[in-house]
Amino acid sequence: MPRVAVVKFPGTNCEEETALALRTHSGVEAKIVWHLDYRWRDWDAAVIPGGFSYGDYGRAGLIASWSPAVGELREAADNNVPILGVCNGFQILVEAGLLPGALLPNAGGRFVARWVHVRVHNPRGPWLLKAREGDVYSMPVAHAEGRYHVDDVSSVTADRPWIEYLENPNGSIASIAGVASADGAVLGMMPHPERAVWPWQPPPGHGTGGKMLFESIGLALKRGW
Amino acid sequence: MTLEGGGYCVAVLVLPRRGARDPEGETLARELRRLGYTRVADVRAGKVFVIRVDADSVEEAKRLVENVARSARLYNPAVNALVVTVLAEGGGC
Repeated sequence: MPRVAVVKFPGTNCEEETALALRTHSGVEAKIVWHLDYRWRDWDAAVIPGGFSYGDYGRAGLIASWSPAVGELREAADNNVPILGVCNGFQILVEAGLLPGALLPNAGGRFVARWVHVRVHNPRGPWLLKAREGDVYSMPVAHAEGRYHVDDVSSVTADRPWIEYLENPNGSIASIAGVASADGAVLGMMPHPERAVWPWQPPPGHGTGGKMLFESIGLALKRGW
Repeated sequence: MTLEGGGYCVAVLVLPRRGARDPEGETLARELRRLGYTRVADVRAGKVFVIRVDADSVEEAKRLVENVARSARLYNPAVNALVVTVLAEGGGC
């Protein structure tokens, strides 16, 4: 059975439901791994879940990006190991330079916690294996620093897989909710797929849009991508 | 006094008062030392406001912003230290 590490930093708080979603919807062995203990060679994929690593001190994701785990993740990425960063995990990947751009304080000046619809563009790689171009999924966001910025938007949207908000909750440039490496192996996204996998999670008008990602990685790790 | 794009850029630094606990600064200092920057003694994390004002001199700009910071309580004297410093003359902030 494929093995997926759910990497936990001090202040991570979404690791349990992320690991559970991986077990139930990806059909993989998922373990919560303390960041100092993470060795990329021991795992088939890694997920950096949401939370408030190091209290968001400095900037969200900054201090976690100094962890030795980030060196391991960098090597993992160089070796095509699938990596998913959700919310604070996305912020960490961006601060570490594993994904381009920056995540700034929300344009509205407030923490936003709400369900959104997102559209997938240029789907490829292990995390979006089951998505088709233009597919729309619903899942919630919950963040204070989620306004994505990159100087050259087309460098993100032209060829990479990326995820677009249908209703932009934070002022992100080009309504960008998530970005991936060119081959899709490394994906970062602000919305929380692990909060949209069980039928009792979504409110009326929304669905279990996060299932697609977990089913995709399960399939990818078993059959390739 | 003609402001337009000019005036003075004045920085207001709101810092934890000396001796007050500052978990953000303490964490940053600890992690920087762990990274190998062993000569880092302390970090204090605060807030910076850069305020552009209309004034006739550097001294007046500083006095004006100091007054704003105190009377509008941009800092809380119970817990913060205040540093006001003019960054640039002629706008550009």
